Amino acid sequence: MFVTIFLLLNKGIFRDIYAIIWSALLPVGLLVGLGLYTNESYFPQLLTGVLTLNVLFGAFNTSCIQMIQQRNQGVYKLIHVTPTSSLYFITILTLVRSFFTFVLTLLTLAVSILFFEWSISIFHFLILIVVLTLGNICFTALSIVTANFARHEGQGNMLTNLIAFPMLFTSEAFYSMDAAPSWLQYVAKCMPFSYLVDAVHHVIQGNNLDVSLVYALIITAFSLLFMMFASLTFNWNPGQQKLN
Amino acid sequence: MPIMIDVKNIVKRYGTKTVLNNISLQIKQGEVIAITGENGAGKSTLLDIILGIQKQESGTITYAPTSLQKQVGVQLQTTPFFPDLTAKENIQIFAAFYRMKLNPIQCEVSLSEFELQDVSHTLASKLSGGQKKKLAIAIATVYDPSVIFLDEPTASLDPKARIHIKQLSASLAKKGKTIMLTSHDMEEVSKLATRLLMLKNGRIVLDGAPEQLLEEHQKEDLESLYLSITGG
Repeated sequence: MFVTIFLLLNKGIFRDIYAIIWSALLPVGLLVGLGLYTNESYFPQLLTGVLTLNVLFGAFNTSCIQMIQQRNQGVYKLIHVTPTSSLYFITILTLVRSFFTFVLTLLTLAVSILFFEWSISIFHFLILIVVLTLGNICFTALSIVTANFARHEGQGNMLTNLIAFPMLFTSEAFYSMDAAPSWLQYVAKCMPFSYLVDAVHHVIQGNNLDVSLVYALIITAFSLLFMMFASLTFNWNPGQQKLN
Repeated sequence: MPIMIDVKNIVKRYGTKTVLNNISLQIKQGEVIAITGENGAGKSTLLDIILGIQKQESGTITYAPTSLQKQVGVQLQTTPFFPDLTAKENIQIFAAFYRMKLNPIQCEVSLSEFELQDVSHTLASKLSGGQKKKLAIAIATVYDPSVIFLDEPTASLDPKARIHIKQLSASLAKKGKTIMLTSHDMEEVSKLATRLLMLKNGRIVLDGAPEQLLEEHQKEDLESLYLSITGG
């Protein structure tokens, strides 16, 4: 049953051509647009920023809004009367949305390799995929938590911005935080996005993987925490959000 | 007839407004119960509470057996589907949520039973109102549940679609299914229901077989009875 639901939900997502185009435009456009004007030494930093930004906006912002839409249409209400548990459903949702963002990640990597002659060892490439997949799962789970607290898409948009932008600005996605005040660096350490950025950066630069592994474990811990919280606060029914 | 669902002393409030005030009823096997009442009388809220979709302030709902609660078929007023999946795929995915794997033949049978075979590959978002209602009932009955909840199955439909939905509901009743439906359509209620339940100001003001209620209140039809109770 799990596979049937997973495949059919993916089918639905990949039928929405406009959503795919718009979702792909951000990472690919950003990479090509900035990649043409940056020097070779900055490219790994740029690629780190683009890949992680794609996770943040694809897995977190977009997923959150789509979940609010589906819930408010009553789809989840109808699923609630079936024997499907919230944890089971959340796991499927997380994997489905993560898969979509994963495909966009592959597209971004393909553009990097084909147009910017960026190279990476097969081993590091596989590790990169694992780290980004963990990031996708983590931020999709966070998107479910956020969707549980939003009554409609407008609130969802506001909440995702409220969460995503501080994470983005306190991370080293596009610039170094070395000169930032120490309290801000401490805040960054509480954000799952910072660990994703650092893990991806280490892998892209071909560094020792010990650090990336530790960060990957931290991202996994955040994912489990968000999944648990998403399951506990899950709203099947429109109008029963936690911030009414 | 054995009791399948026992509803006891349900109270539900929205803010300071009491929508359901001490509602009790027993749903027996094979009954076709029509819940009627004015807009805002609490019909859909009562269904939601019985289904466990909404929580009540007090009171209990007991399913016999307990596993029955997750084995009921439901058609919601809003006909929600996955909009980017076809009619056939929606049936498949909801069957999977009920832990049932449909083979292509079962799927086709289910679609043709509701005259949806021609739109089986049409996206749910592109279906007409009548087709959406039919699909919703097809989904509610896809795994052959013994209890079916229909929330205003004929509302906002053209006469042809309305007649077809009524026929579908009648065929489900003939199969011996226990059905609980909400409706404003007194003709539908008189043809289908073995028991009529009317809500007013959060309380049950009528409960009984339609013929018996007509006799008790000395009315010729259910519409006159409805108007006399609601004060229309």
